[in-house]
Amino acid sequence: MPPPASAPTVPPDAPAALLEAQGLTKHFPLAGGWLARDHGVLHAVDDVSFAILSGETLGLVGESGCGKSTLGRMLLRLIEPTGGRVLFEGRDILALDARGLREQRRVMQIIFQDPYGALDPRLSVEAIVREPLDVHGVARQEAQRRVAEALDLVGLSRRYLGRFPHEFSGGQRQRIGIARALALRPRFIVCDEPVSALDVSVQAQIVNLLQDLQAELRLTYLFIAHDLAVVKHIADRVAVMYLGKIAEIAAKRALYANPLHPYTQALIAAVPVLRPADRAHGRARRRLVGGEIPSALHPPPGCRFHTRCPHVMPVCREREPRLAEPEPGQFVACHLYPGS
Amino acid sequence: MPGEAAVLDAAPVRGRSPAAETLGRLLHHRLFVSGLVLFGVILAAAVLAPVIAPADPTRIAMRQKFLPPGAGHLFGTDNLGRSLWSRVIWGAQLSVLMGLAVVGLNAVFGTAVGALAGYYRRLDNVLMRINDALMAFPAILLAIGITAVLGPSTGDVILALAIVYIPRTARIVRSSVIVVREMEYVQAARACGAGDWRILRRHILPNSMAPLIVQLSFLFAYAVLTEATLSFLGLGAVPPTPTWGNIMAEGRQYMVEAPWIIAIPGVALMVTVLGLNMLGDGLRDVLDPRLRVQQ
Repeated sequence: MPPPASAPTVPPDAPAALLEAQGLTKHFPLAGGWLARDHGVLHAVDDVSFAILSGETLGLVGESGCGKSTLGRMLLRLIEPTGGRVLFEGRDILALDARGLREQRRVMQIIFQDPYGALDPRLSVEAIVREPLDVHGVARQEAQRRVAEALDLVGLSRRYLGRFPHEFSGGQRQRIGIARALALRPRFIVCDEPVSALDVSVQAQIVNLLQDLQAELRLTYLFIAHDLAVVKHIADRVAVMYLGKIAEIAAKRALYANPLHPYTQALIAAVPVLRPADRAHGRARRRLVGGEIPSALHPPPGCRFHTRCPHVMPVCREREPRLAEPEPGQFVACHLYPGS
Repeated sequence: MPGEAAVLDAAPVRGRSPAAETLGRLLHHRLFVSGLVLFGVILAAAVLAPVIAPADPTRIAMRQKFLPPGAGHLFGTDNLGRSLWSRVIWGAQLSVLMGLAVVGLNAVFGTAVGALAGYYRRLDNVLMRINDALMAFPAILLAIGITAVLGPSTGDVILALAIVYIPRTARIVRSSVIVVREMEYVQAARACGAGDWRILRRHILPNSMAPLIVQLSFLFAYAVLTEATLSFLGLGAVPPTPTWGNIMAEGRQYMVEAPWIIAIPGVALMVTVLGLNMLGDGLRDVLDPRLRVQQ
């Protein structure tokens, strides 16, 4: 018997999990209208379990199309999962009715990647940041106060309240989006590639802002990114995703110093370094993966990474590896390690 | 709002809303302004009809029939001696009212159907198949069919034209709703707990309006033109009520002796349609440049 999907991914002595995903799955059926037959199923996220501890930042890394955004949105029920559970402080948010879900949304928010698409172009900054408060029926005076407070937090002048999104730069727009997410004073925020669309100089500002906010407001983040460089700066633990599955999840230090999964090793090797000579000592293990990420419509049988893996073994093509814990607190789904 | 000022800093920076920017650009668009002027002339004539054309458009004066345009009768008289000036001006009123009614019905029902189909994917198939069935008929044939069933009257023509054009409007609204629905600001609204109705009303519809406005300005022209066609064929408002279509139908028999009877309402129709099309082109250029390829 395989262990249940909800295998713990947190050391037992760790602080309580704020949020826990158990066997979270999303399959998008691809049907072509009522005359067409079923065209297959897109396995965006497949049986993913992990926990986010209160006050930490969990980085979520993977190539585009690996399902990381879908995963982030399922935690907020912006996308309804096909299967699995999401526990927020032990409460299953997938079981909430419309009213309960709306209340739940006060404490969990999202920041988006595209600073241009994330703000309604027809609304003023004030209207944008106030919308969550309006939805939750916060009284006018109080709402104005909290809008001003949110703008202060993200470092935008209140003089801009009457302005419209097109009058701001990308970094400023991202601040407006963060202010909107903060207006309800949430405790958990999904940051869906919040800096990927920004200039490098602005990226640092936004990452620092997010860190300051986390310290000040005791926020918990799921920080989604497609490269390890940004995550290395902000995350406490990092989960690496490949084709709808978690390949490895570990404390940041352990993951960067001693990546176990061949895919994690490849990702770390792909991070550009300032002086390539620095990396020379790791050359023996440094291998870039070739090829493309396979289609999520027809994920490879067995280990999903076996088509690109430099260490591929016969078992990889047949049996899907489970998350094992070869090092304390470091979980990896790979047949190279016992227990998978 | 005096209450706000106390909370905010002293000198807030007023932003320029997208609507204000669009209006500014429209007023600098030559085609739009020309169309506005042409259509404005017709609109003014329609509104001011009782003032500028006091003569009863249905009063028959057999002794004054076939008078050419001139000092006594600006546009001349027809085969029954009725003042063509009065008839064409009052006809303009009818055309404009009819166009407005059709545009209004389309704005309401086309938007409703389009928004429902675009937003609720489950309704999409049903609504759009009905839509397609209606769109499969050529507009004019369907309009003739509906008026033939309902009987010729102004109200029935409006209804017929609305039924003919609502599916076209709905399809345009649907396609922009589908695009806007996927925008991240809609996700953001949902993430903060906004319901479907609020999302539709506050985010999706306002951001889907550009193609609709363009469509409605062209629709106005089609409606006026189709109404004229129906009246010309005897399916519009019942004579002696003057419409451009039935004036032309009557004038057709005297085209050689009194060409002005058919020419003047024809020119009025042309000015209206031309003006509205220029207006629509201008709106399209400014509001929705992507549409230029399709039209």
